[in-house]
Amino acid sequence: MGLDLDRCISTLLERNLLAESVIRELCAKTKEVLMNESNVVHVKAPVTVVGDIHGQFHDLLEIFRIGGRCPDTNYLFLGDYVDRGYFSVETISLLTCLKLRYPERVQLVRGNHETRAVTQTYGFYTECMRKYNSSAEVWKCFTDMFDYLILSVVIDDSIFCVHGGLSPSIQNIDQIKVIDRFREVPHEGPMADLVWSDPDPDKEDFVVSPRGAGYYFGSAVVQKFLHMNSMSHILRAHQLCMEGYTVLFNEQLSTVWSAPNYCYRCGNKASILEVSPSLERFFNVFDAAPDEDRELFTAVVQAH
Amino acid sequence: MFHTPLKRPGSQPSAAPLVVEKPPLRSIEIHGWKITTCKRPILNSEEIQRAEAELELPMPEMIFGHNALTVEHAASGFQLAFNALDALRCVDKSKEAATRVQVAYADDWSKAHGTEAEDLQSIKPYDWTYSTDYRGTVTSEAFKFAPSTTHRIDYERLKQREPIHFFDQVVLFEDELADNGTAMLDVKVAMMPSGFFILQRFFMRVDGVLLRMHETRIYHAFDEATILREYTVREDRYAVVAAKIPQWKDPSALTDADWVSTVLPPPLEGEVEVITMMM
Repeated sequence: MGLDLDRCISTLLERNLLAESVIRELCAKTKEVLMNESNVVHVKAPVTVVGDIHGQFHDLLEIFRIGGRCPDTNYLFLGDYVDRGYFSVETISLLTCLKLRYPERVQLVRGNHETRAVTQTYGFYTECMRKYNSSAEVWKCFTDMFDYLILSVVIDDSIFCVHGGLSPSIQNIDQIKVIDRFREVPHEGPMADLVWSDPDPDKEDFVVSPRGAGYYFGSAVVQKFLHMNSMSHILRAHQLCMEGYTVLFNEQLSTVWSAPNYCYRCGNKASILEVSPSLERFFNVFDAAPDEDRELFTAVVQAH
Repeated sequence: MFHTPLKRPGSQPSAAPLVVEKPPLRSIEIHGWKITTCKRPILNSEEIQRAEAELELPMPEMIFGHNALTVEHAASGFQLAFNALDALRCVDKSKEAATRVQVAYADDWSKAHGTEAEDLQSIKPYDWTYSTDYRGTVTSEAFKFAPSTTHRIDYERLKQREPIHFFDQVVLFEDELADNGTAMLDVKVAMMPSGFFILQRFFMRVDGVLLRMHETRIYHAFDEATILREYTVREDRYAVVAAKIPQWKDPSALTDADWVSTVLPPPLEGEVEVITMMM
């Protein structure tokens, strides 16, 4: 057992990178933990739910400041840890360490950016190559681990949590449990829908996206799903909003967005959702950490 | 052609650049020409709802509805603006436009879903790539760009080394097309001692399918009577552009509009328009 997780965590908190060999071991061990988790993990409240982070490491540190430290606070992360921001490596390194250190208190759901295809275009691959001496090894370790991330979480049998949304192929939670999830996210089918789909407040049913692939889901779909599974709420991430959160369908669905000033130019707020022991929901709204903008300049200068 | 005097007697516009930084506004004024950029956060939910109702179009993921670049010439009353909502008004909402470009796996997808997908109501049609032929909004009625076959932007003159008094870039909208690519509209401006140059660029990439660039260039030299506008449309298949990525670059080169711009073929269509002012 050569992996000292507490030391890895402090290294990252001091804004240093982990060595490639450490990442390799970290990912291998985390895979073993994730492998034994169901596609649908059941957790108990209280829990703090975090939406898209997209490599905004300093904002992630801000989240721990306002939401409480791990493991004092239970955390559920809803995916999209990497790409877009300049600190994807630091972000996913820290989250992976925390998952491995406190497996019962930290849950990592898969987002649509946790795939090989998407990370090659949107920044994570390039960042790994730049920070690890033009070697794709770190990217490979993390993206192999992504194949093991869980697809959804249920809080106290009543709040269904997922990255994107619902799927026409899934009426019952049990149908998620039988998906073979240990693979790259496919372009179609229930696994794709869970990480990709979006709600449409003006619709009732499922509608096909004009792109020719993917779905939007409406109010009747949400109601039916909650009724069938005896649940009260759907909680998801995936969609940017100026306010940091959105509540739709008569308070039956929430979107939580946790990347403030997304892409360093949107000027949006972010939030984390604190679910109390009695399942009350409180959006803790926050702005971009000053560090994120300041260190961006250093990152950009290094990139060129 | 409508002629307007460029200078009013008695007032002599200054040749010394006056730059004002007043966030979210930045502006420069030289020779009576004032260029202003405005950079603010994306629209909030309420503003998005209002815009979607008015335009009958779902807004792009990042919609900078308050951002703008404006050009004003007080003496003549000339005004030109670039803003996101006017650009989105130019997006095609016909049924054909909605299916003109499909994501790479749409074929497999509809085969797999077949009748099930057909049974579902489809979303109101619109060109989901947000392709727009927007060339800016001329807000002063007295001026109208007229097509020209004799004028063209003098790029040789633009290439001459000159100090740049003012440079800015304003993003108007951006959408990742649900991670199937990018649609982005931005506008850049450079103010030099001899004139100003504006480049508005709509850049679209549908992964595995197509790259597209609509560019609008505005040029005015202070010692000439014309304001020129050049509009070009360029596109190429994804595979063709991807094959041009040099070895030292990685696939993210395809997200770099500046690089893509260097490898796209000559314009499918191009048009020069002109406004002539009386000196």
